[in-house]
Amino acid sequence: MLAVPASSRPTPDNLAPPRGPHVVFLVRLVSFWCLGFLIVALVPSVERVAIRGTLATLLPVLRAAFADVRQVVNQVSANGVTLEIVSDCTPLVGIVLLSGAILAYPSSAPLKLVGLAAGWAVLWIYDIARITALIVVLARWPGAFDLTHIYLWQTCTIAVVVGLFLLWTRLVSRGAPA
Amino acid sequence: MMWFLRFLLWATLLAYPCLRLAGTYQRLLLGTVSVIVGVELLPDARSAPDLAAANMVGLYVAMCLATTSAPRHDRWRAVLIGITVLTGLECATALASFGLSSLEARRGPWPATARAVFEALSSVPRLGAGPAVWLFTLGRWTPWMPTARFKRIAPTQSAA
Repeated sequence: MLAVPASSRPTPDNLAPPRGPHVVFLVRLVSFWCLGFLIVALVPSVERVAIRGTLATLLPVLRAAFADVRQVVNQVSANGVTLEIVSDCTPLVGIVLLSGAILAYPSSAPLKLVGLAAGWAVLWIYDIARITALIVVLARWPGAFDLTHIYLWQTCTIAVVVGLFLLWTRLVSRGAPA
Repeated sequence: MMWFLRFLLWATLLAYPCLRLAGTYQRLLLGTVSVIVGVELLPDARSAPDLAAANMVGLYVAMCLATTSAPRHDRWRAVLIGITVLTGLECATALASFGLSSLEARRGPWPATARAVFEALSSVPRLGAGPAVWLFTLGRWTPWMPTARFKRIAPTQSAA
């Protein structure tokens, strides 16, 4: 009978998946995030375009949903509520987070481009829905604004980014050679 | 996808408690930074507490609790390690911000580009810290992480 040395017996630690690949992914991910936030900070036109684009897509939605919608520079009034559209109101943060994850993940360039294009579009739609929901909450339940705002801005943005990334990894694993 | 649904459920359940604890968490962070720098820092009475920091802790805990593929012991250890790391990151960001302000008070304002770089880098933890720390502590237990593609050949075990 062959004696198995204690060090090679299966224990929870040596049954665990290896940590290495995840650390490589994590390092690439954080690097891409830093790069993304640096680009946003150092190229002010990115932020300006995002704010202008958000306003351009938000206004038709608000006009369809509410009466008396007005815009003064970056401020939007609808449903008796006035909001100023700043950088955090745009989908930029979600776009940086998702783009970092897709770029850091090992896959082919065409699949990455598909993921980026589809992900950016979904994040943009989510952002418009988020601002519209915030206007409704601010008008009807102002006491719930803080909770709704942090829930939609941080929790749901991360959830949408993670959800999109998971969907995209499924696409990548289907397209990967066996 | 079940992981995602569990994460969403836990994050939703933890959102309200985190909102209630945000003020206390902010005071804890300010207290810690005050002890380190030796200057009493007080929260701005005119503005509401920053909710994002406490909510990020809730998000991280939700990610850990959703990772049921990891042993329970590993999950709870990850929760404890992660909360410590996230609190440390918040303190580090606050310390860096305090250091920058002190430096500016002594030597005049930094160039706009340098300040933009600082603000860009300090904004990464606001939304990225929770997922990044989770990826480090428990990410290897999820089947959709890039194990297969970054895979290294494991040492073969002989059964002979």
